[in-house]
Amino acid sequence: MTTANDVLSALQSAFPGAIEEAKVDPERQLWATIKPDRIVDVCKYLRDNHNFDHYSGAAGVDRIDEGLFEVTELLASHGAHQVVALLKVKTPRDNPSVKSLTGLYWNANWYEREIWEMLGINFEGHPELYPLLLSDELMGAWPWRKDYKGYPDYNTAERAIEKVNPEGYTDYSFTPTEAEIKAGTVPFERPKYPTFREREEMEIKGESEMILHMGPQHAVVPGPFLLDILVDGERVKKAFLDVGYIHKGIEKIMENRTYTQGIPITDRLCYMAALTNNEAYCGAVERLLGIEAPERAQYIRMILEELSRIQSHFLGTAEFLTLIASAVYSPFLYMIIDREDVLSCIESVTGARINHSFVRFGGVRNDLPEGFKDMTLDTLKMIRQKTEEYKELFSSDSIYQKRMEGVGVLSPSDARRLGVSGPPLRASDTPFDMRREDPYLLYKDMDFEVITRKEGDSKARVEVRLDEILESCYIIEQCLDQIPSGPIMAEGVPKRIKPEPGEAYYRVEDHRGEMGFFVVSDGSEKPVKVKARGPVYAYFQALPPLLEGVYIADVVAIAGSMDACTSEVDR
Amino acid sequence: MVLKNLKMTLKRSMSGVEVTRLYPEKIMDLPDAERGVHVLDIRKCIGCGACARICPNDCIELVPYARGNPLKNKKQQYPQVDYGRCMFCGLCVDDCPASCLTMSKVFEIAGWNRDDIVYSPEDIAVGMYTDQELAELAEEARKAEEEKKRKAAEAAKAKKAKAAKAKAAEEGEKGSGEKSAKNKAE
Repeated sequence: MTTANDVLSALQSAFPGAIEEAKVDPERQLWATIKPDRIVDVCKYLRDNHNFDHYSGAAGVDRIDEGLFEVTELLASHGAHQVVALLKVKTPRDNPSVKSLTGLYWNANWYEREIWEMLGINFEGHPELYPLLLSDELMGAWPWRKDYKGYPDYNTAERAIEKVNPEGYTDYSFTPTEAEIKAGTVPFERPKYPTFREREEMEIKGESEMILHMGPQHAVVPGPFLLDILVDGERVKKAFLDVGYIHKGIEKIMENRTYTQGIPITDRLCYMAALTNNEAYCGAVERLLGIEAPERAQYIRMILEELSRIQSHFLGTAEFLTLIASAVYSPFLYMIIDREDVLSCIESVTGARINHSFVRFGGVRNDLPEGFKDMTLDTLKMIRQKTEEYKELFSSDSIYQKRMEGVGVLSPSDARRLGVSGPPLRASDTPFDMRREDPYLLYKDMDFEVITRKEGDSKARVEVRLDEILESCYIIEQCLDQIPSGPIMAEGVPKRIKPEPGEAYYRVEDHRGEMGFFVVSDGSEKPVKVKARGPVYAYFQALPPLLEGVYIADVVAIAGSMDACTSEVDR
Repeated sequence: MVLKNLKMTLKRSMSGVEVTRLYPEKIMDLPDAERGVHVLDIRKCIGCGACARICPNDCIELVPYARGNPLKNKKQQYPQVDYGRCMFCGLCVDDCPASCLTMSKVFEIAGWNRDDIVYSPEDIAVGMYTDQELAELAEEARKAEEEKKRKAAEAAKAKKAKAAKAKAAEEGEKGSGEKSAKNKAE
């Protein structure tokens, strides 16, 4: 098995002088600062020789005191080994520029675009540096920079100037005042790029082609996002995604809150996955603080996260059924009824049905109440029985089979290249699960199977979810049997959380895939940078290539089978 | 296939799972851990403001409260919660050093105005002092105050007396000095 030290020594011998500083901390994580001109070579070497075929994301950090920007590339492997490489590249704050990795990893595209629009770091060789999450007015303001002064309040419509454009639409514009220009809150120079509309209209080649809009407000999308499909007849030729309609700036908000105040905010990434988001964030901060939760607390976290996985998969499958045809509405309601019982189990511990804010640094908020074991075992029995019923129902229904089989097939190599994780990746015959890959909590002691399917189509993705519900039931039963008594909070957790300067990355298996938190501390009460690497961001990025060449009617079946959440994409 | 599915539907409809609740009349059982409206133990609160500092949404404000313990500092303030902002995360409860702030199962707090859902210490307090207790405590406080005043007065008196004595002694010395000088002159 390759270890982080092996990779480090191989890198040092292959690129003498290119690695400025490096450390292995903790085991399985390799941190290295690479010279800016060698980053592409180093990544290519790691990808080709050491199986680093999973590009997990990138985080940009503004080191205003040192006059530097840092871009940290997160590389991992699809099961060949468990090492995570976090490669740092530094670039000066004036005229920042980093080499793009889009030539090596297809899915680096969106991560680099986001860093460009938020921090203003140019990525050399990036094919399409267009804004992703920000609106056009904010472009050029670089809101993630530490010296960003905020944007003038345009919410009062008094200052809006109406203007009718040549196409007959009314546009509203705002002229900045002298004071605002003086204060530097209004961007002077905006980067030049074609708008989303111009970009998609450029692709129209013939008379028979047209663009069909799905969204931002559409009955079949799980939140506001724009999915435009360029159709020729009934076939989709190309798909375009526009996200950012509910961009909340959660990462920037967390920079302005103390570490503890960040916990409830991580819930709001996606309320379905509130517990795993808590876990990922608290795990990263625990690494910074160098503390570990006591055993009982880790068991409680595992029980609740698996319960949360069950309810999320139920709702994901239920929503998917309403999307493919409104005729199958009864299974949707059945699953919602079953899910309520799971939520009651979670609520009896956390005190909330969604948005739990339950995990704390070094432990959990509450202990399990009396009678929790019996209640949960009853619920699990019911869940098992119901899930078996659904599986039987799906496998025996010929209409469902015909509608789903062979729709949106993602081959294993494509799934890895597009960077998806979680059930869609496992449905494509890749046993990639963080609980096995990067064992957190006490999952290494648990006996469970990583569910995979060979087909890679929409049907397989739903089957993986249903089978994972059964597997989660099994894990919870083991936890309830093995849970020891003891404290639920670690000793010596300071009241005021002030970690030592440093960085930490912690990833967990969300219900939808790999969820990671990258937290940078400078020794103060507030984090310098929090980067949430969500699984749905990767799903969305993979949608356009997946939709090419399918029928219009299948678009919904494919997009729905991904179990997406726009809130987490936009953050 | 159709029959099988139909059988499942029938089974579900016969299973007797309670789905619809007659909500205002019948409220579901809430667990003890439920995070609803705060409860403030007014006798334990030390007015430190830890809850207000930790609150991510700034919804807790410390305000003066007339019915607090008169034995304590008169300027002590108590938390007031603005439920228009509160997200019921429970961080304030975790951070309370006196364990006086908890959360109840009450969740029906809708109001007609924004002011209606700003809960003053009086609205969330439990264990409030009765009028009699307050009167007794006030009496105690008055007594304590009087005692303090009396002691202060005594101390002042003693100090004054001491000062006067010292002055007198000094004066006496001075006086005798003068006298002796006078005597000499004479």
